[in-house]
Amino acid sequence: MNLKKVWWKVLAVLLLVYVLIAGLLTPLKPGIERVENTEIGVTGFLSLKVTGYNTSFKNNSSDLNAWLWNDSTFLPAATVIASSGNELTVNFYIDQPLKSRVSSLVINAGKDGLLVKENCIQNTANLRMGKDTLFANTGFFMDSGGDTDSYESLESSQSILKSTNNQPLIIRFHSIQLKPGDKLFLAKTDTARTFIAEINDKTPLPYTVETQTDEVLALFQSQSNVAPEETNLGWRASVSTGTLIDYSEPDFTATTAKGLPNREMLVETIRNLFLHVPMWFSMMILLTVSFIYSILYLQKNKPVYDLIASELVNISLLFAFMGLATGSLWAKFTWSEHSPLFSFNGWWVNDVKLNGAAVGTLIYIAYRVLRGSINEESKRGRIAAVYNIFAYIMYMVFIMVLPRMFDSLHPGNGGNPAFSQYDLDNTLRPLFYAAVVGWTLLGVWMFTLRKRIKLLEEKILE
Amino acid sequence: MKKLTLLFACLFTALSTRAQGLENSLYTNGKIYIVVGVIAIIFIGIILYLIRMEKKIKRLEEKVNNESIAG
Repeated sequence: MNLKKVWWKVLAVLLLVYVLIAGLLTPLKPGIERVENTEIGVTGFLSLKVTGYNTSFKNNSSDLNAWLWNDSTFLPAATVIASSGNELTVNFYIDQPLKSRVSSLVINAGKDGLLVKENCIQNTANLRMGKDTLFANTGFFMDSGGDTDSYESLESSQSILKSTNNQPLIIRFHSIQLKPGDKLFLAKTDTARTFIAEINDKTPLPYTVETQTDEVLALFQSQSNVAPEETNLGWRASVSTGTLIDYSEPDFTATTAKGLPNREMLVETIRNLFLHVPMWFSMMILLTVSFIYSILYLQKNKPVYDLIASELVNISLLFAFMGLATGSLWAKFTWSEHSPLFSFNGWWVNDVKLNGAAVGTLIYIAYRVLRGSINEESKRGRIAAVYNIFAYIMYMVFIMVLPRMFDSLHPGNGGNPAFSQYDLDNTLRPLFYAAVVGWTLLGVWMFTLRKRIKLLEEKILE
Repeated sequence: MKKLTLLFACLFTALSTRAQGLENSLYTNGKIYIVVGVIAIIFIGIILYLIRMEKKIKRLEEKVNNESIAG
């Protein structure tokens, strides 16, 4: 065995072995697998059950920090408790209505880095209107005691709380700003204040007050026995100047964990980037070489060029079939739950890129049929070469040009000329390029075997 | 070839009857079994290619042998 002649075969094998071993053994970066108990009302306690993936919460428990990310504010968690490496309970106390209906969870997990689960928390407040109605400008809840229709639904701009059916008004204080010694007053009119309760050490929160009045203009909280003069403002001020909750932007300096990117939906299947994508890249490289040989055949009229072009198309078709099958499996278990475009029970996406790839593959099957149907050698060579040139251009239009002009699920499309920085980061890049080179060389190897068989066959036939 | 088709048909029916359980298990462990499936598909592809190549070589061998006998 002459090493000078077979070095590229050795390289192909080494590269593919490296890709398989490193691509399968490199662990994924820590991430959040799922978050449970994510429904919140307007305000109140939120206790999230977080399940991590590849995380070590327990070991990093002293560094753990979490925020509720809503709109542009970050609400720090009251407590973060790690019960095991992958399990975490995050408790929030939400004392002000959240601006946006969906919130994200941000966890600074120490050595595991910054973990984000986007839009995982739903604010269902509007769905429960009537039961816990918030009066945003006064900052307190009204509870009807189970009878959801006993209160008129008030606009948040109004500060008059009204009880219907002559029932007593029950007011619940969820706010943690109430301190022992705080005195609560009700205002029936602009000037008349009624003392209703004093908060002491034993007062539990949420604190409920029942009044006999059926109409309240405002609520006041004061440390003295005299209620504040101005309507509403006294209460509002005490709500918004909370001491426990800090809405300023938190410090997100976290260490970056090592490993392959842990992406939502994909998780471990990101490793398919070294298996599925190189199929298509190698196929395109081999088809390009085939295209060049077809042009050369038309120029020089050497029969061997036609043979090379045809055998390259053969091996490209194998890669295309493997690409289609692996892509179908990959998409079924990642995209199918998230896209309405799926057909055939989730095994095929009605997407420009995928349909283009399938039609392109059919074009090349037609090339094989066409070439096989002509017996006369020079005629066969010329027709096949011309068809191959057209097929190549059509295929490139189908899988490279058209998908970029439409919206597509497939990465690298829908206006994006190439992989974005998220699709191919520095841990994926070397493995991916090694895989492309490895598979292309393996394809060339397989092609040379076929070519040699064909040449032998021709010799024997002579 | 017929035997091979039969084998694949048996395998396929065996898989499809267990499809629901199979599908559920593919989602577990961070979907790592999908990567296993993809590797299996590529492996099968290469094996099928080898089988086809072997057939071609066999045909050639038969031709060469027949010619040498005739000659």
